[in-house]
Amino acid sequence: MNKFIETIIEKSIILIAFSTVAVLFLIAFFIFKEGIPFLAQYGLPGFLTGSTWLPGEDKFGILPMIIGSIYVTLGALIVGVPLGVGSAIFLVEFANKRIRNIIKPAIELLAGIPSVVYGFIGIMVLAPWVRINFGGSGLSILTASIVLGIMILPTIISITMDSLTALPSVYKEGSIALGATTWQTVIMVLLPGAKSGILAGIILGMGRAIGETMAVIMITGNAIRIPTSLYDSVRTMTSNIALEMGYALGIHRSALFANAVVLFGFIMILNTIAILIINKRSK
Amino acid sequence: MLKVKIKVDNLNVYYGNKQVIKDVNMNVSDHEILSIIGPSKSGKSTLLHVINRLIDNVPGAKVTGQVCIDGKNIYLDSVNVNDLRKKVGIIFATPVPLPMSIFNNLAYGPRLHGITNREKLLDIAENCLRASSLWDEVKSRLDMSALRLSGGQQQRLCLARALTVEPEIILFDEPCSGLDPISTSKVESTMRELKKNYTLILITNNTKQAARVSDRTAFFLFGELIEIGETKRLFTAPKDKRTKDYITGKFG
Ligand SMILES: Nc1ncnc2c1ncn2[C@@H]1O[C@H](COP(=O)(O)OP(=O)(O)O)[C@@H](O)[C@H]1O
Ligand SMILES: [Mg+2]
Repeated sequence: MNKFIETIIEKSIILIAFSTVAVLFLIAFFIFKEGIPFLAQYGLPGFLTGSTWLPGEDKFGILPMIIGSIYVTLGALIVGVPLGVGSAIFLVEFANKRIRNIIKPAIELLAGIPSVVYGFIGIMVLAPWVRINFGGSGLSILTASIVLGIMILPTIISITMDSLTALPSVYKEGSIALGATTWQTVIMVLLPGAKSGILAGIILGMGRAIGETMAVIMITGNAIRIPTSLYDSVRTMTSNIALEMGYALGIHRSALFANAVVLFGFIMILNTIAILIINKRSK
Repeated sequence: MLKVKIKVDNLNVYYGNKQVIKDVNMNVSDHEILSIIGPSKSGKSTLLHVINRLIDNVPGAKVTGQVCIDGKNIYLDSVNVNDLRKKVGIIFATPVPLPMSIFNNLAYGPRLHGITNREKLLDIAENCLRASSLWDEVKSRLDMSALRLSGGQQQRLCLARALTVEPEIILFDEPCSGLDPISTSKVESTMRELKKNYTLILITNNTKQAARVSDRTAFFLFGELIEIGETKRLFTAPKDKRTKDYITGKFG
């Protein structure tokens, strides 16, 4: 009887595991089914490099959105990576237990805040500050970079902390015994040793930044144009889809699905690069 | 009488409330190999960690008394611990190659202390690998990860690495406990070779090894220094009954 129940449990777990893969394929299939015919008709090069997006005139160029997504994501990394990796080093190597026990849960709490709240704070606090100090509307690449940079902090900090603490403590001892300071040990032994883990954290953070939609819609201004400065408003691929899907019909709707295909491709390429780097490192 | 290199006076060490070294007084001469024997938990490793102040990094550890190297108290505030640790190398029971290439392991110490010229680093690496009799085995693959060496090779690499920063004293904490007899005898002959230029302290749980390589031997028991003297004399005619019991294997 027990054996029977175990078999059932085992089989259903396998089923659940496979169904997640199936769901992934379903999503991909659904997006591609709607998007690919459009791309075949409109032409991929024109879609990717066109800089006007005017659905009313059947002009579908997503270059401004691609550039918007790249800038905002890069900006988030420029803000989030040094801050995140630095905080993780501090917490693991320099902070005492008491401080760590206060800060670590606070960081985890940061991950639980809904993105609309981040967007709200971005609009109410950060955007005016950017407007007053740098000009423009305040809804800009800079604003979005800072907000997204903070949003990806928990991911980067916790994965970096995990990979630093996973290193054998003897590395540190061996380095200190040669006359290295803690700081030299961190830079020359621990960070290189934890590199692949840290990289994985950065890629995950990047995935979160490129896929973030709600906060981005609220703080980038959503202007469809190729930005020329940090204080310009931009629209990302995710915002484009979310803003227009509600009312888009016919070919416009298909164009948005094609946009999703491109986004999907971006994320796949990013992840593949990450996996390649990580595999190469661990060899 | 030989010059005194390390002088330990009234040394007491506590971890929290527990005293693990009790009022130890001893000298180590220049260019000698001193063995330390004794059952585990007798404070042998702790003594080594006191001599290069690795114990500074142990929370709750307290050291009283004096340790002087070349007549200078190493626990004065004016002493730079990083320079001290450069001068006093240590080899652990489990070899600890850093997760990088063989060459980078050897270049690590010199780089810390400001040497960046690659030619010079290669020179140092070769000399130290020769001194630890590892050169012939690795000369063609210095760029290989050090983690791929065998245990015995890793231990000799760690020894070579300790030599790269030109120490004066080298501490060995049961360096052969994980090695096969052939690797062990290589490490032992290297130690005898090193004696010409360095002062060595060797903790070993192998009394035969102590007898083979060391000039003098100290016997520790539960934090106390029971007896110290010429190795041959200590093993043939121990003065203390507890020493005799230990070397004849009557201890647990
Ligand atoms: N970091 C530490 N914190 C607390 N107690 C320790 C620590 N290291 C060693 N001890 C204790 O100190 C005593 C002596 O240990 P050790 O110096 O390692 O002895 P040995 O090397 O002779 O085996 C042991 O009882 C051990 O449990
Ligand atoms: Mg020990």
